[in-house]
Amino acid sequence: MFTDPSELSGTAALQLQGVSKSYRSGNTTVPALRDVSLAIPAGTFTAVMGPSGSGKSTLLQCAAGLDAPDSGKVLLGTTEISRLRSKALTRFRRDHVGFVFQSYNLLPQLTVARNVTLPLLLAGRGTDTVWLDYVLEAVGLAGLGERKPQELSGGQQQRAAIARALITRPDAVFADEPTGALDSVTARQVLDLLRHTVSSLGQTVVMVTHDPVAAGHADTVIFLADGRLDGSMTGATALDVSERMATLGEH
Amino acid sequence: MWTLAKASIRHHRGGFAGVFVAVFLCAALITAMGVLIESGTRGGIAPQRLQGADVVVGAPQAHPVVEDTDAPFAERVLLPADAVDEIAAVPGVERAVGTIELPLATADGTVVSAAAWDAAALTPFTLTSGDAPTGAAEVVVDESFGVVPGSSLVLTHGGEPSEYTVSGLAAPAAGVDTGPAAFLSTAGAEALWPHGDTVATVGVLAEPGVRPEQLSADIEAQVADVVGYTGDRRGDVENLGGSPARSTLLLLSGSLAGVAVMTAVFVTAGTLSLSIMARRREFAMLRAVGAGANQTLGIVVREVLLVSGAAAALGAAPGFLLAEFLGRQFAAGGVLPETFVLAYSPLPALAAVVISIIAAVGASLVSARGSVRAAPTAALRDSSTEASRLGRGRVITGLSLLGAGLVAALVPIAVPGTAGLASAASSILLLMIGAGLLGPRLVTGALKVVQPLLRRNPSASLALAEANAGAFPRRLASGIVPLALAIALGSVQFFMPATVATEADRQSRDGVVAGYLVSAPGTGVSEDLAEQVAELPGVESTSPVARSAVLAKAGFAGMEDGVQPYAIQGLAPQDLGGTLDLDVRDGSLDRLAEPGTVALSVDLARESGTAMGEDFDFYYGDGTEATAVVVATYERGLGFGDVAVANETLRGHTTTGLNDYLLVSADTNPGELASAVAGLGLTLLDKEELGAAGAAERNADAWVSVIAMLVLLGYLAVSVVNTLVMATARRRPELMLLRTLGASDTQLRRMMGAESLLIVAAAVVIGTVLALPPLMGIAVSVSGLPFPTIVPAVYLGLAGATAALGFGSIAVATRAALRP
Repeated sequence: MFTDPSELSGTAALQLQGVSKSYRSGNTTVPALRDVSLAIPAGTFTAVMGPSGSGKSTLLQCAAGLDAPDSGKVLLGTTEISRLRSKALTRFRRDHVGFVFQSYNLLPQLTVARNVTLPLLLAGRGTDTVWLDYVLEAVGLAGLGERKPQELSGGQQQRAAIARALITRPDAVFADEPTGALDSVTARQVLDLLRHTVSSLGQTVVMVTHDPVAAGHADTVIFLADGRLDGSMTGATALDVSERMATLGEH
Repeated sequence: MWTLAKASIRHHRGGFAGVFVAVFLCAALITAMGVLIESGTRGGIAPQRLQGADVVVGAPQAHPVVEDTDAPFAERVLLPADAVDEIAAVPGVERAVGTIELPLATADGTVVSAAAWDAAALTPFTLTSGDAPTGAAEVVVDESFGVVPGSSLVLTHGGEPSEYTVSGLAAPAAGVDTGPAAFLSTAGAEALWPHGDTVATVGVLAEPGVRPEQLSADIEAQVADVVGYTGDRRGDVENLGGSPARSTLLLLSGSLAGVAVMTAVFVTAGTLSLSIMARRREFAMLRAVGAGANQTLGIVVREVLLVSGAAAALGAAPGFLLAEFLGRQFAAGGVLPETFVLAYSPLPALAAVVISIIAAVGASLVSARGSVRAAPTAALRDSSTEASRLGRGRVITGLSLLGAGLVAALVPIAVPGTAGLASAASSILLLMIGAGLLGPRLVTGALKVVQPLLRRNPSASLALAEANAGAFPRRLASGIVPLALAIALGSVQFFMPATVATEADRQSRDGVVAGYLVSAPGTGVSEDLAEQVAELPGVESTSPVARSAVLAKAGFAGMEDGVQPYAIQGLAPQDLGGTLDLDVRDGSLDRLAEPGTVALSVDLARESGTAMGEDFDFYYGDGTEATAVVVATYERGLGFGDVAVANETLRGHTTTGLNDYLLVSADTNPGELASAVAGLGLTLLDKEELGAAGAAERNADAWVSVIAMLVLLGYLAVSVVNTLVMATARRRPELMLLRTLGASDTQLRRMMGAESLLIVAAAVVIGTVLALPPLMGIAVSVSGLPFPTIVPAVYLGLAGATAALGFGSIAVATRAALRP
């Protein structure tokens, strides 16, 4: 992870330049992000960490085009999504961004396969069945495509959600606390799966988490405190991350 | 537990707002119906002309019916003149005055109610100038005539003008509005009264200190066959319109209330089950943390009690306004006299609150029971979609109701007349409840038909809509059922009278052979005048027609000693040839000239089981019991009334003793005839206008049911919007997720649009299919053929309005749900 895009050797999957965002609550304005700049290289697994209220969810939402920054630029691939209008943004997100949520957010009325291919359906693109089978296989749901989501376990549902995030071959997959609702064994499987998508499918994954163990699976961990970047670690273990978290904001 | 319930209400504010609206409207509607029903038993017309009398005595004005409302007689039941002296002799009576009523009209056709001068004391009217009338040609009038004592005034009776000298002017006591009033001398009045030594009512002035109620009871005890009226009840005997108006109101509001209560309960239950369905996950959670099934149900019931109690209590108030509005519309439609006053008491509100709460709590129990009883884990697993199967009991009940409805609709094929008609008309309710119970099943079925079409379509919106419908048939049904209900009820309510009217019009048109109809403006046509018309140049034949109503003794339709009202006409059989063709099946109308004979419509003859040559027992409008031999049966009963007797016979039993109109066939220039008729002070209508006049009369009745129906449809509309908005708003999370996954707002709107199209299409099909059996039954009943009159514009309007409601409310709610 680099805070200055010029340091970047390969292509950046995601760049934030001087992004600020604040929320109005009543008469007071609460800043959530203050002048954040960063670049994430393609094909890497990045974790964003920070205490509650540090702005990590806002960072993810601005980076993924779910929310627009007050100022600054957000580039996904080569597209400056912070300049896109609502309709174009929806279209861009559909084709270039994958999401994984804490609650799996599958539609109960659709089969697993239908849920996974929903972004393609919404984009009006046909489903490449070979790719679908490959993705389902990759997330360990081979043969479960015709089930309804409620017939799956929590871990399986999250795998289905990851498959849905991968189906469009997006520029980046954003995951918001993907293991928050899972037990540690299942969580580990899901994290391994995310790692796998990076290493064997060449995906870029950005994950927000407050769990040091989850962050330990990432290539790079970015720390956020009080809406500002507070350093980063590469190749850190869960223990390193825990220690770093304890001293966060004291720099 | 109450605290938990309150917290839950606060949390689910949105869902409970929908329930609140549903119960509020339900209570308002039921209150309004309650007021009308209560007015049908207690409401009436305040006394005007007899306001000054402490007690008004009349003959029994209704035929007593065991265990049911008494059947009112259509005409004034008269008292013998001796009764006045007998009443005057009762202790406590200061003065008893016999009254008679005479329908007079001024030269320009304004109706004047006239009486003898001694009845003026009963209002009281007092002379403001001049003297009381003494000679037969003297009259006292009120100031609205704009004449002065000594001037002359022409008043007509039965179309015949007489010139009177105004002997004085009189004014009623302050605050009394009687309309134009005229008083003749006793001799003058008796000369015009067709019923000899009788009086219409007796007004009684009590001695000072005597309570009217006590006096009334004394009079009833001491004089045979009289009824005493005091207070506002005096209005009933003064204006005979009050009693039939009450019966009509009772009948009308009774049937309407049945439909309204059913609809309201139906819709409220639907809304509640919708709100409960949305919270199944929460119930499962409660169960999972250790709440017992009954405890959980207890919370639900408490929530619903709190919300529906508040809503019902608040909803009762506008119900009274709605009743007032309906009453005014009924008066405008001519069903109630303008002066009819509704009876208000807290009773309807109380009943409405109780019924609404019971409906709401009952519905919540039924819909919550299943999800609450289920094992917590199963409930949690199921909670994201709907249980797909309907309970066995529900399916069986639904199917049996549909079957029973079909049978009821087909009853007219076997049972003629009103009984069959009533069965067919009410079958729609059975069909509707049956369809409502089977709703989700019907939706699944309908979906199977359209699925192949949707499957092949690559549109994301359609594919999602299809998946939604398949996964949530109950949610979809909750939108379809009320819309279908609106279409079905509306169709039956609008096209039933239309079907009857079409047949009646056809019969009238075919039956009237005469080219013209002559009537007197404001009053009837006297016999003398009828003869003068017959002698006009060019007139080939005239036939006087008097109309009234009889009560047939009904030894039929399962009633032992009941009576049934039928329209009767008095015909002059010797002159019918060129004027009227009733399509006689059997016997001959000529025989009506013989005393003690009657002709019946084929329908009535069949319904009452009276064949040619047998005796037909009935009461005339004035209460006279009669037995007559059936000498003819005819087809055209709907257009002309089911009973016919000789003209003179019938006029002897009507209050006015006049003909309603003359049928005239003439071979002359219509203009000349019109001016000749006008010269006699009468008006001439040609055949086309005659048809229009009959249609206008029937329209008044139809208009009232239309008004009532519009109120009901309006209620349904609001409820449907409520349900659909509620169901759609609850889907905000689903819409938000789809949007995050890349669905554009256009796609989402299209998806919801496709679902509303499905809802509307299913509603139109189901509603129409349900309305057809009753309408066909009705058509069979009146015309013998299963082809109801369906006015395309009305049907399209109904379907269009329903479709607009469905599309509109979902679109608006979707837009609101998509707002960030």
